[in-house]
Amino acid sequence: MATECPSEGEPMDIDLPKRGSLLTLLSRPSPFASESGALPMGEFEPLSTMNNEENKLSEIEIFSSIKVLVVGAGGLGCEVLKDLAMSGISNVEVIDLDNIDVTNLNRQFLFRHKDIGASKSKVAAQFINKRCPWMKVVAHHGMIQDKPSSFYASFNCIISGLDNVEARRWLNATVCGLVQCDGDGDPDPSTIIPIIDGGTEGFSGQARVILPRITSCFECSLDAFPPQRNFPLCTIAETPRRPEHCIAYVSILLWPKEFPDRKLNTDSPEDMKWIYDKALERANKYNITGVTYMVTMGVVKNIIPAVASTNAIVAAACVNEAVKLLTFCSQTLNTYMMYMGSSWHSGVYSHTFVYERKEKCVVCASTTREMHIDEKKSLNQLIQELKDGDLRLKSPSITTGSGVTLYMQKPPALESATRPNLDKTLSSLISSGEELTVTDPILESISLTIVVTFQSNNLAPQAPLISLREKGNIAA
Amino acid sequence: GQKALGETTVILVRATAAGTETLKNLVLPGIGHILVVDDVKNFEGSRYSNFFSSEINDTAKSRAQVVMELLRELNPDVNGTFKHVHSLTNMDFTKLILEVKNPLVISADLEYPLLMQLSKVCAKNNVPMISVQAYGLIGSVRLQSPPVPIVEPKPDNSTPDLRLVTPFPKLAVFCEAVNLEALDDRQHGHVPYPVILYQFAQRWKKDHDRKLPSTFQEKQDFRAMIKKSARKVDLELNFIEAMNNSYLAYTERTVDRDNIQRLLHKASGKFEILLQALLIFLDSHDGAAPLHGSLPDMTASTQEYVQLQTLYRDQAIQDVKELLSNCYTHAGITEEDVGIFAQNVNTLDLIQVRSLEQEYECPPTAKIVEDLQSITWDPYEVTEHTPLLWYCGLRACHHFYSKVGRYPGTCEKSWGKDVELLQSSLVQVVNDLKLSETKLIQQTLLAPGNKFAKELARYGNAEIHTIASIVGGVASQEAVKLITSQYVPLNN
Repeated sequence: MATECPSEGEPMDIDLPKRGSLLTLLSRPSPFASESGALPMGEFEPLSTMNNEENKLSEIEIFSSIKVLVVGAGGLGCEVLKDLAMSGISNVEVIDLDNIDVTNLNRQFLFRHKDIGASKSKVAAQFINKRCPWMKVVAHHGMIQDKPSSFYASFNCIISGLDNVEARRWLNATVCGLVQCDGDGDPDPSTIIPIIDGGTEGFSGQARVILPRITSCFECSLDAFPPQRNFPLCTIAETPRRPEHCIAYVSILLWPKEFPDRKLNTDSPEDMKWIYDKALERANKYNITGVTYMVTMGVVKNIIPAVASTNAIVAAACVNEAVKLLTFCSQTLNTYMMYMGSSWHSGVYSHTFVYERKEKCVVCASTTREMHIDEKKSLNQLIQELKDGDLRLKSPSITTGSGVTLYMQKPPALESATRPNLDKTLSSLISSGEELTVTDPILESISLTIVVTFQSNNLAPQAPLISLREKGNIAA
Repeated sequence: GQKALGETTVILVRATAAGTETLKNLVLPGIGHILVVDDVKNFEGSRYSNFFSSEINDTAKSRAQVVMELLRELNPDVNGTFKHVHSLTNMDFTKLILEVKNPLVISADLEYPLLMQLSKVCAKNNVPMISVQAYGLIGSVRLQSPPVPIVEPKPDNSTPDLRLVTPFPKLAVFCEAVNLEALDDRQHGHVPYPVILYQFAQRWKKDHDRKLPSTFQEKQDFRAMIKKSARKVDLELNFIEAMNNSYLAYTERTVDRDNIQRLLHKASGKFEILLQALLIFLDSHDGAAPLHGSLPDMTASTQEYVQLQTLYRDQAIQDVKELLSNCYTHAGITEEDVGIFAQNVNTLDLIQVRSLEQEYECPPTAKIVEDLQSITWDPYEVTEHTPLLWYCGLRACHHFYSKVGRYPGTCEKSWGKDVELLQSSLVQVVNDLKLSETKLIQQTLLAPGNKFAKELARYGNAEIHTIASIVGGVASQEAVKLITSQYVPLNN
C-alpha cells in the first residue's frame, strides 16, 4: 500500500495515510522536545494548523522571520544550502571569498563546468534559488573579516563550513563578542547567536553546537588543532629523501629567491605548475620518485582529499541542529559529534560528547591571564611568545593598562612610531605586575588582559633552545 | 578504485530523498550507470524534501525520470536510465538485477513486505544491497552482501616491515657493508637506523648464543648498547630513531597460517585464488610473508636512503611476481591486485554479513541475543539515546506496517490512536529479540505510556531531508567501500 502523498485533487476529510514531513513534526507534541534535553533552547509549541483547512501553513511561512547565515560555499557550504532549502528556510545569506576551480566540481555540486572562475557564493545562491523557487539566498563575495559585527548580529543562527582554523577563530570571537551580559554577569539570551560549526577531512568529520557564553566555544578547543606540519630545514636543504622534501624545498627556499616580491599563490595554476616542475627537477637529481602534481598540491596547500559523502553527513547534521534550535521540535546536540567513516575496527564510528569549556579561554571566559617572563627580554620576544605559545596570536598589538601604547601593528604611522620599543627590554617599558591589553586580528573584537610578572632567570640555558629553533624547523 | 566505480550500475528502488541523496554521492565521484526505479507519479508532496524532484514538473514526467535526469546533470559522464512502474509489489526484481552488469542495489524507504521481497532476490543472486530509511528524526543504513573480503583496510597505523630478523640477501649485504667506526661524524649521524639495528642485533647474537633479546631486561640492555655507541647521542637523530624502534631488530610480523587456511575454506573467486597462492608462498619461504616494500622516512643521507628504499621496493616486486606465478589461474587477477593483497597479508579477513531475511524472519541466534543483552547493560549516558532502543522502535514500525498496511501515525486525524497498537508491536519485537527481561528494556520500551511509542507515532514516517542526507552519506560511503574493495565496510 502506498505511503506516498495522495494526489492534489483529493479531499482531505478522508483520513488517508500520508507520508509525514517536517510540518508533521512541528504540529505534533513530542516527549523529546527541546526542553526535555540537556541543552534546552526553548519550549516547543506544536502548530495547530494541520487540522485547520484555512490556515494551512507551509514550512516556508513558519520560517519567514528567520534569517540564517552560511559561512563558506565550498564542500560543506553547498550541502548546507541544499539542506536549508529542503527544510523550508528561505532567508539565507552565504559568504565566501573564493572562485570556482575545476577541482571543486566533483563534490561542490552546485557548480558546473561553465561556472569555473565565477564567484562560489554567487553561483551557489543562483542555483539554489532556481531549483527551489521559495528560496531567497543572498550572496556575499568577500572575506568574513570585512563584515562588521552588526552584520553577524542580524542572524538567528550561523552555520559555518570553513576550511581553516584562523577564520573559525575570527568568526567565533566575533559572534561571542556580540553577547551582552547584565549587571550580574549573566548573558542576555537575545544577544546569543548559535554557531553550528562543521568540519571534514577525508572520511572523518565533526559537527558541534556553540552557544556563546553557555557552551564551550571554538577557542576552547584550539589545542585540538595542531599547528601545521614542519620539516626540518636541514633535510629540505641538504638531505631530501621524499617527494615532500623536494616540494618544500622549492616552495620555501627557491620561490622567494626566484620571486622575491611575490608571495606564492596556492590557488594560481601557473604558480603551482612552477612549483611542481622545479620539485620534479630536484627529485630527479636525487633519484627520488613520487613527485606528482597532486602530491605537490597536497604539500603546499596542506590538504587532504575530500570525500563527498562525509560532507553530506556533517552538513546535514549541522542543518538538523539548526532546525531543532529554531523550532524547539527536538533535543539539541550537546555539544560535539565526531564521525569516522573509515574506522578499521567497526567500519563506521561516531561519538557524541559534551566539549567542556576551557577555564581560561580567552574568548568565552573573561579572565585575566598571567605571564611570567624574564625582565631582560625584549618586547619583541614577548610578542613572539604570544605568537608561538598556546595563545597562537597572529600579530598582536599591546597597550599598557594606563593607556600607553607599547606596540601597534596598524596603522603604519603608529607602527613605525612604536617600532623602536620592540628591542627595548621589558623592564624599561613596564613594571612587574602591570596589566597589559593585547588585541589581535584573529580575535578582533576581543581584547586580552595579561598580567606580566618578572622573574629573574639565567639566560644561559635558554640559548641552545633558541639556536636550535633558528637552525631547525620552519613551517612547510 | 575509480575503474571499479565506472563499471558498476547502481539500481535505486524508489526515488525517495534518502535514495536520491545516496545516489548523488555516487554520481559525483563517477559511478558508471544509474538506474532509477520508482512507483510514484505525482510527487508534489516531496517537493520540499527531495532536492532531485523539487522543480515544478510541467511535462508530466514520472518522478523516476525527473530524478534520473537531475542526477545525471551533476555529472554527465554517468549513464542513466529509469523505469516508472505503477506498483513495485509485482515487479520482477530478479529480471531487474540480472539485466545489468555489476549491479549494486539501493533500496530506499521500502515498506517491510517489499523490502523482504527485494532482499531475498538480491541475496539469492549474490548482488549487494544497501537499504536506507529516513523515518522522522531517525534513520537506518543496512548492508546486505555476499561475504566481503578485506584486502585493503587502510588502517591508520601499521608497523614497518623492515625484515631485520630474517633479512633477504641483498639487505644483509647492504647492512654488513657499512663500517660504523670508520665513518666520519657526519656520515655516522646519517646512517639509516635499520642498518644500525641490524649490526647491533648481530653483535648481540654473537655474545648471547645466537639468540636475540627476549626478556625485558635484555631489551633494555640492547637499547643501552645502541645508545652507548652513539657519538653525540642528543644530536644523532638516526641513533635516537634506532633506539625508539629497537624492537624491530628482534620482532617481525608473522602471518597466521591457520587464519589463512580458515579464510580459504570460506573464500571464493579472486580472494580464494590469492589465498591459495599465499599459502604456497609461505610454505616455500619458511613461513615468511611477502615483503611489504615501503620504507618509512628516517634520518639518513639521500643516497643511502634511496639505495635502501630501492632494495626494499625491488624485493617486494620480486615477491609479488612470485605470488602471481603461484596463482593457479590468472583470470581477472592483475599484478596490481596481487601487489595490494601482498601488502595487507597481516590484516586479511572475510566478513560474513547476515541477510535481512535472517535478521527479520529467523529467531536470533544465542550469540546475537548475548550481544544485544550486553548492550543493555552498558547504555548511553543519556539512556534514551541508546541506538538499540531506536532499532527496536523502527522494527516495531515495520511490524505495525505488516499488520495494518500502513505506518503508525500516518493518518492525520487519528494519529494518536496508533500509539497503543504500536506499543503492542514493540512488545512483540522485544520478545522476539529475547530482550524483555532486561532492565533497560523494561525501563524504557516496556514502560507503560513510554516516550518511544509516542515519538515514533509522532513521526508518521516523515521524510526529513537532513536525516535522508545523513543516511545517504553513510550509505554511499559504504557502497564505495564495497565497490572498490577498500577500507572496512559496516557489518551490517
